Amino acid sequence: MRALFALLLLAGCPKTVVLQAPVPTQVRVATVLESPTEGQLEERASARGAITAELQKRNFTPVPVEVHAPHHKRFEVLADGADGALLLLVESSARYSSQMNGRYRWTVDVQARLADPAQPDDAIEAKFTVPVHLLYSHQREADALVSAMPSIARRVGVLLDEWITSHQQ
Amino acid sequence: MLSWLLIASPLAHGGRADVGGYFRIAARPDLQGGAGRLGYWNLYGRLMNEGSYGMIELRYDVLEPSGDAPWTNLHVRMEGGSITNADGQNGGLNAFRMSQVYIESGNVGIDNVTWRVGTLEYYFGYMGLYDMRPATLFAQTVGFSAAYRTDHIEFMVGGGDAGYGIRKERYSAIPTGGALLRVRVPNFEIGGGAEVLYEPGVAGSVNAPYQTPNIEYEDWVRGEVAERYIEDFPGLEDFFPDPEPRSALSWTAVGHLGFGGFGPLQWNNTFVRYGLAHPQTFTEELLVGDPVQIYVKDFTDQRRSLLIGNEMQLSVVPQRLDAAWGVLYGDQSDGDNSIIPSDDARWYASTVLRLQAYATPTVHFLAESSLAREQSKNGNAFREHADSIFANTDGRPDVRGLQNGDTDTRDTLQLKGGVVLNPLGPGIFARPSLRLLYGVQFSNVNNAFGNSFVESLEQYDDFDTVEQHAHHLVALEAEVWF
Repeated sequence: MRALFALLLLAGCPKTVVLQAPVPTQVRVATVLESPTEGQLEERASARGAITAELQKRNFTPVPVEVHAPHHKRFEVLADGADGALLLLVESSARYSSQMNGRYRWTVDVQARLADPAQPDDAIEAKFTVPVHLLYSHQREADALVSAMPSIARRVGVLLDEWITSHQQ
Repeated sequence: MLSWLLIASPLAHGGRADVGGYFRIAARPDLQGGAGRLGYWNLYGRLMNEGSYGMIELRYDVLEPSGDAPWTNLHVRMEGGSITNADGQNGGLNAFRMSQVYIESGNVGIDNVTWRVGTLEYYFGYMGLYDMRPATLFAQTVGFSAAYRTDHIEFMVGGGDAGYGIRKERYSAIPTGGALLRVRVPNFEIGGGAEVLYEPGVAGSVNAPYQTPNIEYEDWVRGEVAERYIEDFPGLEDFFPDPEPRSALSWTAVGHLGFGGFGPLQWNNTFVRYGLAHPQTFTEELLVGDPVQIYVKDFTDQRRSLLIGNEMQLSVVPQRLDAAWGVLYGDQSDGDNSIIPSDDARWYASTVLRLQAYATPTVHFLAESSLAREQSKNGNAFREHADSIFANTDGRPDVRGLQNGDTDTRDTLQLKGGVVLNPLGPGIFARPSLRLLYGVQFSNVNNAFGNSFVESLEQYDDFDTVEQHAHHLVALEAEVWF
């Protein structure tokens, strides 16, 4: 019983110190969901919550921006009117893979890019794939993105930490 | 197995490889003489009633999907129920099989149509509490299918051969054909399908369907056909009746209804399956010391089964408490058999309720209960007491009796609970999951779990018997999809 109590206490404790941006900083954030065969799709607003939380706990102020543009134009659209804010573009492509012993396996390919519009050459980027296993056949790309979002947000957090570290020196 | 999959690296072929899979492993020291499972099978809920399992699937994109362009990929899956130190087979590769291999191509000839060649297994959905897929088609077929898929409609026709899937090394061609349709609109889904399997008689093939004439069903289930023949026709063993050719037919029809996304109901799935099982080919007996095949198509061609399942997921208190509730009913009948208890002549019903409360996003508490009844249609099938080994026909000792034990009913209650660590956050079916659980089962049947207690009169003379109707287990287990 004591061990269980200790476990619960530990679970509630923060595991690491979260890096903080030196000054409160605005970040224009766009998340884009697409399918390899159907192009850009509507995503759920709830999908962005985890990324918003990663930003806020690092002293960033997220400013959501809707971006509907082809891949090569998205950053340009996001930068339009940035006015000193950082830019964070998270593009994801969800793809159904197979029925796998009861679940529906999807893969979500993600490209996340963080940049200061004044220093575009210093942009930092991450590309990765998140597998998700949905329970129901009616669940589609938007559900896959929601399911993948804890992992995506974690990786975005790493990007933010990289930016904070590089700007502390 | 992993190194074999990694050979197919993206660099080697200029395409793209993706590896996914599933593993579960458990340590459940059983101090009551059992094998580490709370009950006999997952009718009582999969939790603590299933063993270790591993699966890896490779998807290799020869041509990745892109817009309306043609695409094609290869899927290879290996799976099996054994992991080192976690079960009796100790991770041996003989417990594993290559369960799926198929190639899919899309947008070739017709937009939105996916052509598939290889294994064809398809299911309408899943009952996570039971680890069952009641509405499954083409599970034993290798062949060809064409599927038209949009966001709202899925239509598939398929066909092939289930001969190896059913007969294995005693292959006999079993052409198979079927179709399915499912329609989706927001918050609602309905579908159904069927498949038919036909095994024609093939002159001269020892593996084709036949019936040995002039034999009795009871002699066959007792394994006494040859003995009875020699009693009736002494010295005429060379004239044992030749089997008569037959053809065999079996079929399966499935239905599915799904709805949800309103109020606390996340989703509800209802599945129905009704089918006629494919008949057996033959069994073997010894006729004056030599093996003789007893062909039994006519004895095994009336095995029908009905399975109805319903499972719903509820968000009782959002982000604090979720529930999953399942109900299962099965009815199996064998028109050829009215004399001996069997899995083909019974009905069963079960309900499972799981609650998961979230103390934090990653630390959860789980509680599950299940209640089940299984009833034999052909007399006693279960032993209630330590001395039930002597009980047979109507509960009385009968050395020639075909029944088993002193009751035709098994009632089972299971209660399970414990702590769950879910690194990816809340969700009854969120994985990975690390669990510390305690479970208890109560049954009217004695030692109602996989065990190594005495099963025969010879063992009864050498070992003590134990009567216990409660079974306790502590489990440390982990489960992951990736």
